[in-house]
Amino acid sequence: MLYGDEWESSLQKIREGDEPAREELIEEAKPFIARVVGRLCGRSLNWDRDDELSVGLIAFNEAIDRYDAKLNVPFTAYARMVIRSRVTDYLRKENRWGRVDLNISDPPPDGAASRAENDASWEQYIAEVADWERKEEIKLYSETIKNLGITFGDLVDSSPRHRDTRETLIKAASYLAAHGDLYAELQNKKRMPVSELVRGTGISRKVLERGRKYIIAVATLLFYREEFIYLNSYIKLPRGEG
Amino acid sequence: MGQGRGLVMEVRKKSCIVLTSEGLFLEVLRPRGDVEIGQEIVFGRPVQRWFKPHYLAVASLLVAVFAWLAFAALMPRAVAYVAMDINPSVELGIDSSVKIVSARGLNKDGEAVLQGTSILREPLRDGLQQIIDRCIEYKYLDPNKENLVLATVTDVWSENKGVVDTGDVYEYISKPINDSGVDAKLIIARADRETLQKAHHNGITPGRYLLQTEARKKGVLITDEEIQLEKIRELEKKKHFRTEDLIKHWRSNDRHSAEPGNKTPAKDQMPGEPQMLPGAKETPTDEPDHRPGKSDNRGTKPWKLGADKNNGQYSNPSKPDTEPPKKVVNPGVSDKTPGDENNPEMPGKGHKVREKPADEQGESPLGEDRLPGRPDKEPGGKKDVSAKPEKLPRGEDKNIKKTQRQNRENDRKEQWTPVKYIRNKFEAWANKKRSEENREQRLENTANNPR
Repeated sequence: MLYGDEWESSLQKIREGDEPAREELIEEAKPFIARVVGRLCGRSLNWDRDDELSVGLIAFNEAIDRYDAKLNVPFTAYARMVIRSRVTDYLRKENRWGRVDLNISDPPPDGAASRAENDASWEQYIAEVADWERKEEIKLYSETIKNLGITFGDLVDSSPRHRDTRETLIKAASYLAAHGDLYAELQNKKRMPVSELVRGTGISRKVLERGRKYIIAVATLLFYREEFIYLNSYIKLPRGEG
Repeated sequence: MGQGRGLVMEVRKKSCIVLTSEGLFLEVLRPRGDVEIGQEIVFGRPVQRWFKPHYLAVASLLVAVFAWLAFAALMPRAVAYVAMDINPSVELGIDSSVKIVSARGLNKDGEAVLQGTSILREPLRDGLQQIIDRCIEYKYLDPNKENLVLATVTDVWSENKGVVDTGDVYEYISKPINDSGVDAKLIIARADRETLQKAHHNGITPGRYLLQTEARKKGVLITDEEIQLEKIRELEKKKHFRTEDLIKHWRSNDRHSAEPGNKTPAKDQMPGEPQMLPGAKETPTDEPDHRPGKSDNRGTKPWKLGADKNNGQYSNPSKPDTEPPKKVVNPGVSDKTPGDENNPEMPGKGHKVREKPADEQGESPLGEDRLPGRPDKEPGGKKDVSAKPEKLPRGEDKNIKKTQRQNRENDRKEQWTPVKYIRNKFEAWANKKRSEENREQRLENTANNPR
């Protein structure tokens, strides 16, 4: 799996004319594209059969070219927006062709294209969507940690003030998120696998127990990094070794 | 982190929870304007969680409690009460350093006397001086009459017994009276706490209360209303009793010179000293009968202030009171009395205080031998305390009832609390120290003033 800002560093190379890097990035992003398009279509897709995936791939490539850090949107989120937008347009077109007689009053066929041409409105559209998505993401995150018995208020109380402690706990959270079986255990038993973390990270049991809620919250953020794109890109977490 | 940016995760009433780019969750004050989840805001200082209102409430409550405890511990509290009936009845609360912490009049005259005086926080001596001066000024103490001053000293706490020395009170009262040349009979008694409370209950001084109960024992009925409202002198005339027969006058062991037998010279009496009113002493009552211990009789005698000049003549008890006062300056006599050495209050200076021997028929010769008698050891004194007042017709006066209610409230306030207990323990210790120092000083004074 890839992290948003790793893609952004690849983006940097591509901007400097590193074409193999582009190939590499697109290849790496294929599962991501498949998941985004698959969720949009509501079914699992196959690279060999389904045109939607190709549309998504082209949209991702477009996103690489058009991405602007000034938008204040993570590249992953931006790419997802572009893919969704293009695939939706594609599906609409497909559907119209399928039932021409039934859908006369649909948006003008070049609506999407004209929006793409108008940079100002496009940027505004991106910003609006980003705000909405960010909000939804936080709500989802709130729900997710609530299921694990944690509120934001708890996290205020248990956030380690000292940078060192925080980095230690984030290291533990990264370890937990990187080991899917451990995170699954956490979800099932609603209990942090302390012994495994002690063994895996060498952090003392006391520290882990004390930072329990914070570790779980951060691990959740990292584990569902594709769900929580905005949050993950917002916090500059030191990357622990997966 | 003075300033920071954060992503709003949760919006609360006055604050919001943000996630910083460092991965910290913080609760910060809500910025002005609308805040939405997902918005990035700039915040100042994170809200200190323990400054939140409920923490604040608990903390301030604790502070208040501690402040109250400290205040209560430092507040001057009366450890003894000195009550005085001239006709104005006043009661002074005395703290452990013998300063006046409360003063109230128990009747209208008492209030009038206290009005305009500034005796709070004054030493007892100065306060009493002020009150007596005022009584003389207002003619409550009339130079043309023989006046009666009835005073009681009550210790509130057994731990602080003796903070207010009866002898001292005697001196504090007698001195200004003597200095002004007013003729007055001074009776001082110690009352116990129970008596004080019962007296408070009836809105009167312990002295009057003792008078009432003692009178009843002798078959003299004084109603609550009478004891509250009438002057003691008038009651004496009306009911034909003598206060000095009913209330044992305090008498100490170590103040020999105050006794008539010690021949402290009564000098410099005011010229034209009025004679005692014949009415006041017309009937020597059968006092010895109700006092089982003969030897204690001496302690029960009221001391005559100012008027009694028959120095050394009490051995002729049948007539001393009716004799016109004779001014006798007899400085040499006191030298012969060993007891004088123990009398620091009256060093060198002749005291005008005389015990009135009027009703001591046949007992006076024993006077000098009876020094150890203490009033508070007398069975009679105990009787005073335990005697329950009979139901007597109650004065329906509203004011009286009000005073009684207030007094009851005062009594309730004096209930036992740990703070008081500790404070009293401490004060008892402090008093002990103080009295030791005083004794040393007295001895020194006596040594420096050989008479």
